[in-house]
Amino acid sequence: MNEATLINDAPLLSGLNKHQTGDNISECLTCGVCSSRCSWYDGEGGPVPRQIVRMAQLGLDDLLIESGMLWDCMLCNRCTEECPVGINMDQVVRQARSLQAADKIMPEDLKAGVKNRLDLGDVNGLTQEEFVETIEWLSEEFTDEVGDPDAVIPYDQKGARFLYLPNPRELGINLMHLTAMARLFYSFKEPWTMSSRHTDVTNWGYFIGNDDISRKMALQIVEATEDLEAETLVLSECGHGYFVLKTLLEKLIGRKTKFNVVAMPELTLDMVEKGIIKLNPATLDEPVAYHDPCNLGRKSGVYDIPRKLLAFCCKEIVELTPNREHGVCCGGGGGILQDSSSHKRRMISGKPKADQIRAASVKHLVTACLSCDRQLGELVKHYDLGVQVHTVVSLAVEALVTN
Amino acid sequence: MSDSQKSVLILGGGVAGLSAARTMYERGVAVNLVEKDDHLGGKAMNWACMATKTCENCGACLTAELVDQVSHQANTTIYTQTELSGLDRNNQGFEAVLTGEYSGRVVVDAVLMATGFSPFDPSALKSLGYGSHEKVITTVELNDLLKMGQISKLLPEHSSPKIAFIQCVGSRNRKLDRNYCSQVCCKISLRHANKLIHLYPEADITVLHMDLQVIGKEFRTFTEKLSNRIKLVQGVAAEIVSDRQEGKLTIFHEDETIGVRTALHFDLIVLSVGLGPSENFGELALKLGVKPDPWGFLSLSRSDFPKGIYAAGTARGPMNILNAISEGRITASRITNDLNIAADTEKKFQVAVVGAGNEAVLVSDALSKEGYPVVLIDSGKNIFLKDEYIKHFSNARLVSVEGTVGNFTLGIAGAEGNQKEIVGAVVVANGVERLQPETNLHSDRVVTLEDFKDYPEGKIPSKVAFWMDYSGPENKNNSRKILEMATSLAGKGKIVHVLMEKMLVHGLMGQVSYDAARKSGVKFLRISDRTSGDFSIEGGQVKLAYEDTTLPGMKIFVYCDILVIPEKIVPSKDTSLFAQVLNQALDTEGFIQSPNSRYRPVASPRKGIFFAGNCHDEIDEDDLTTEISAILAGLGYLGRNGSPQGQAARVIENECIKCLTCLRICPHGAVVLLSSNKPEIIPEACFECGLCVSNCPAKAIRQEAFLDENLVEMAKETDTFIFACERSAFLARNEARRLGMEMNEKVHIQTVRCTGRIGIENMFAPILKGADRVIVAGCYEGNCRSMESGAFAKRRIEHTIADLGIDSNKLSFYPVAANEPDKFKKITSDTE
Repeated sequence: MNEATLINDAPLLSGLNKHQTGDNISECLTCGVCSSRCSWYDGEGGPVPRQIVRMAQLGLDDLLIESGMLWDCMLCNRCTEECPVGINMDQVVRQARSLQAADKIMPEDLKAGVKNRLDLGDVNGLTQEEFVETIEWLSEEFTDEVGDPDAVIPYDQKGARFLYLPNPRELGINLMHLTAMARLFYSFKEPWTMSSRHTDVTNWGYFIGNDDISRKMALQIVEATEDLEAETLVLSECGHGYFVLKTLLEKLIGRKTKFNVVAMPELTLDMVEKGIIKLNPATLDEPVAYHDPCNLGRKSGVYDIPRKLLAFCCKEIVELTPNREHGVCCGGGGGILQDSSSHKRRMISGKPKADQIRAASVKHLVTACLSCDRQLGELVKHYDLGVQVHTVVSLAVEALVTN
Repeated sequence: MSDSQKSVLILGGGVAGLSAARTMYERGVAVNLVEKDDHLGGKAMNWACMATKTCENCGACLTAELVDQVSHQANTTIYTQTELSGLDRNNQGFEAVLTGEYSGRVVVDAVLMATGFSPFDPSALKSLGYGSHEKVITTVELNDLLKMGQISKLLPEHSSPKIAFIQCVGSRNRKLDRNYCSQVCCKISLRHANKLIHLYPEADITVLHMDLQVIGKEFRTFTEKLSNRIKLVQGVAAEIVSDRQEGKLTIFHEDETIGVRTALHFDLIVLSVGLGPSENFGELALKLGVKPDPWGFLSLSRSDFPKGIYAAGTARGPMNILNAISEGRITASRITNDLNIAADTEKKFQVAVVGAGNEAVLVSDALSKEGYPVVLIDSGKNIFLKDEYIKHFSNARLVSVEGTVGNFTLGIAGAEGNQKEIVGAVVVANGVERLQPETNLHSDRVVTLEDFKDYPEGKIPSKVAFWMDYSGPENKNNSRKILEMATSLAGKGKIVHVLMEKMLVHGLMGQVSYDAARKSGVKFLRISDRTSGDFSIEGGQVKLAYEDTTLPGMKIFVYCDILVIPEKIVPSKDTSLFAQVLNQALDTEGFIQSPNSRYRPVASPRKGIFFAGNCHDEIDEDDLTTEISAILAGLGYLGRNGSPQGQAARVIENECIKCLTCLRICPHGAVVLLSSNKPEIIPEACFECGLCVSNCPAKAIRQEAFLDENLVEMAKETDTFIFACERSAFLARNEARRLGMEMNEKVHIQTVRCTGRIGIENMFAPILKGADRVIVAGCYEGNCRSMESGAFAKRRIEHTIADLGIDSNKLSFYPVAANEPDKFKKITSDTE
C-alpha cells in the first residue's frame, strides 16, 4: 500500500483558495459529483476528478504529480459543471501543472511549443521570414484563383478593420484553411490583415498553467493588434485560444484593450445576418451534428452562434446527447492533442464522444475548433464512424454563394 | 365555552396545519382551515406506509387520523380549493380575504402559516435525465407507486431488480441556492430501500450519499441492520446515461476499492429530492408581512414575526412528519397563550423532573417560568439551579410511580430517607452517560472531548486533530461541538484536522456551519470505519495513520500536537431502572421511550409521563428548546382537559375476582389498585383500547360503547366481516374510497378502538351469524396506540387458528396502516 503524509503548507494549496469560487478547493464536500461526470466516463486510465481535488486539498502534491492525472485531464470542466460549491477543475489542474515539481511531467512537445511561441511568435517555430514567404506565395495563388487583383492575403497593414489571427496549422499542414478564410474576408469587402509578429491564436501558457507565460503570450498579440490599429481582432476557430483571448483576456492582462475580439464564426454570422454574404442552405442536405468545443461552450458560454451559422449552411441540425453545457469533450482538450505521443490515450478519452457520434447516425459532424476538428477526425478514422468532420467556418466557405 | 369567540386562520391542511387545528379545537378556539388542494392531509397524506413486518415509525399514517379528526371536529370550518388573497389587520386581529371554492371574508384573531414545502424538481439538473428516462424517478414518485400498490409497473414482480438511490438531489448545493440539508431524505431513502427489499427479496440496492444522516431514535440500529442487506456508498452521481447497456441505466462512479471510474448499471434509479419552500410562497409571505430567509423558509425567530402571525411545519424549514405534527401542536399552544385563552382557569399542577445534569435543569427552569411548580429529583450532585422555587431532592432516586395523570404519587429515596411527593406529571430528563474512550495509549497528547472543551486557550497547541467517530458512529452533539471548536481554532490560525466517517448536517444551518468550517481551513478526512485508522505517539507528536475513502489504496499519515476523541454516549445507568419504575419501554439502543410514533417525540402511552433530552433521543440545544415547548403544550392540554373521552372501560365491582390481570396488562397504566385490593380504571388515563375487557377472565370489565353484543349486532349474512381498528384499517378503507379504488362490496365493517378488544368469542360471532370469513385488521406491530394491544389480537388469532385447526381464510389478522388503502383493498377482495 502506498503511503503519504499530509502537508499543511504544500505549494499547490498555497496557490489555491484565493477566490470565492473556482479555486476554492478547501470547500470540497467530497460529494463525488465530479467523478461521475468526467468526460472519460468509465474509460481506462484518465483522471479521477475528486482525487485531484482531494490530493490538492490535503497537500499531497507529489502524489498528484506522480498520478499521471494532471496531463490526462482535458480541462474540459465537465466534471465541475455541477460542483455544488463551485470548484472549477480547470483552475485546480492548471495550478498543479504550474508547480515547479510538475516540470518533470510536462510533455516535451508542450515545452518546445511554449519556447517557440515565446521566441518566434509561432508555436511550430515558424520564423517571421518564413511567415512572410508563405503568406506572399499563398496570396499570389489566391489572387490567381479568384481572378481579382484585389483578392490578396494582406499582412502588417495598419488601420485595417480586421486583424486575423490564424491557427498555426493554417500556416503549416492546413494552408487550404487559410485560403478559405481569405475567401471569406474577401467576400466581407472590408480591409483586413494578418500580422507577421506573433501569428498564432494558441496560448500554451494556458495549458501548462503558467499565468505569467500565458499573459506574456496574450500581451504579444494585444500589442501587435494595437500597433496595427485594428478595430477587431478576429480569432481563428480555436477553443482554448478563444477562452484565453476573449473570455479571460482582460482579467489576464489586467487592462482593457483598444480593440474588440470576435471569433471567426461570430464574424461570419454577423456578415450573413447583415446580408453582406449569402450562404447556400443546401450545402449539406443531410442532417448535421454539432460538437460543442468545451472552451467555447461550457467555459465561454458560446452555444448558439455556431449553431446559427450552421443553420445557414445545412438543412437540419441534430443534437448530440448530451450537448451544450453537458457536452462530452472530444477527448483532445487540455493539451493532450498537442502531445504527439498521446494518440492511444486520446482514442480512449474520446470514446464517449465516438459513441455519441455513432448514436446520432449522421454523415456530417461540425465543430468550431480546429483542435476538436483534428481529434474528431482521428476518432472517426479509429472507430470507423463514417462521418465527415468540418469546422463551421470552413463549411460556411463551401456554402458561400458568389455572384 | 367562554373563549369560543376567539378564532384562527390556518393556511395549509397538511400535518402541521392539521395538528394545530386539532390542538386549537381542544382548547376551544374556532378554526378556519384553508387548503388549496381538494382534500386535507397535504403531502404526508400521500406518503406510503414504510412498515415491513413491523412499523418503521415514520408517522405518515398519523396524517389520515388527523384528517379524520379535524374533519369531524366542532367549531371548525374547512375551506378546500381555496387560497388567501388578502389580509387586512383590524383592531383585534385580521380580516382575511379568501378566494377559490369559497370566496369571502373571514375575521380571525391570529393567522398560522402551515404552507408546507415543495419537493425539488430535478429536471433542472439535465444530466440526471429525469423526465426523459422512464426509470429515473423521484422519491415522491416511488412513494406514490408504493402507496397505490403499483410498483410492479416499474419493477416486475418476483424480479431481482438493481436499484440505486441518489441522495442530496437539490440539497446541500450552493450552486442551486440550496445550501442546506433537507433533513429527511436519507431516512426516507433508507426506509424506501427497506420496503423494496421486503417486496423484492432478491433486489440489489445501492444508496449513493454524501454523508448518510443517521440521526435519531433507533436509526443507528435500523441502518446497521439494513447495511447488511444493501450497499451504502459515499459519493453521489450527477449523470445518468441510458445507452450503455440494453434496458439499463448507467452511472459512473469511483470504485471504492481501487479508485478508478467504473460504470454501474441499474434497472431503476430513485432521485432523493430535497425540500424547498412551497410554490408561490414568497407572494403569500409578502401579503402577511413576513420575511422569508434567503432560501424562502420562514426560519426567522418567533419574535420576528408580525404580531398575530405564526408559522409551523415545513414552511419553517425541512423537517419530518413527526416534528411537523409536534410543531403544529406547539405553535397552536403558543397562539392560545398569546390570545390569553383560559390562562386563569388552567390547572397548573406540580410536575416532577427526573434526572441529573444540564438538561434536567433546563427543563425545570423552563417549566418553572411557565408557572408549573417543579419538583426536581436529581440522582447526581452539583446541579446548579438558576431558579429558586424548584423543590429539589438531590442525590435522590425515584423508586415508585403510582397513580395516573394529575395524581401520581412518587416514591423518592434520598438522603433524608424515603419520601412521597404528589405530582400531576413526570418529565424524565436524566441525560446520558459519557464513557471514556477505549484506548491503550495513555498520553497527555490524547484527550477527550469533554476535557478539551475546558482547555485554556494558551494551552492549545498549533496542530489539533479530532477523531469524530472514534468511540462509535457520529452523533449530533459531538459532531456539532467538534465542528464549532474546529472552526474557531482554525480561525485562530491553528491547523485543524477532523477525521470522520460522515458529517452530520442536522438543522437548517447545519450545512452552513460545515461550509464555514471548510472555508476557515479545517480539513475533513474521511475514514470508512473506525478500524481503518489508528494512532501512535512519534517524536512528541500524535501520528494518525488512516485510509482516506476518497483516495483508495493509500495509507495516509497526519501529524498533530493533540488528538481529541469524543466519549462514547450510552444510556445513563439509571435509565432501565426509570423505565421499570415508570412502566415504559426502552428502545433498541437502550434509551428510554418506545419509538412508537403515536407518542413521539416527547410523550408516552402513560398519560402525564414525558421525556426530554438525550435520555430518549438524539437532541441538541435547539431540539431541547423545541421539546420543552412540546412538553409545555402537552402539559397545558392535560391541565385543561383532564376529562375522559367518554367510553373508558369500567370494572364491575361485584363481578371482579381481583386477579389483577387488568392491572398488569393495561398499556396506559390506567388501572390502579384501591385500598381494598380492587382494581379501578381511571377514566382520565384510559385510552379505551379494551384490552382489559377482552382479557378479563371474569368478564367483569365493560365498555358501554363496545359491548360484545353490540360488536356483532350488524353481522348478518355477509361474505366478509371485518373488525377494523378505527385509527388504522378503517381509515385505510376511507382513503381507498376517496381514491376511487374498486372494492369488494360484500364486506361488513365493525370499527373498534383497538383490535386488542376482540376476544375469541367476538371473532366467532359473525361466523355463527353466517359470515364467510372474519378479518381482524389493526395496526402494525410498534404502531398500535395501545402498544402491544394490537399484537395481542394478532397472537390470539394465530393461536386460535393453530389450536382449533381453523382455516386461515376463515379467520385472519392483517396489519393495515391508515395509509395503506391498496392493502385494505387487497385483503378484502382476496377471498381465495
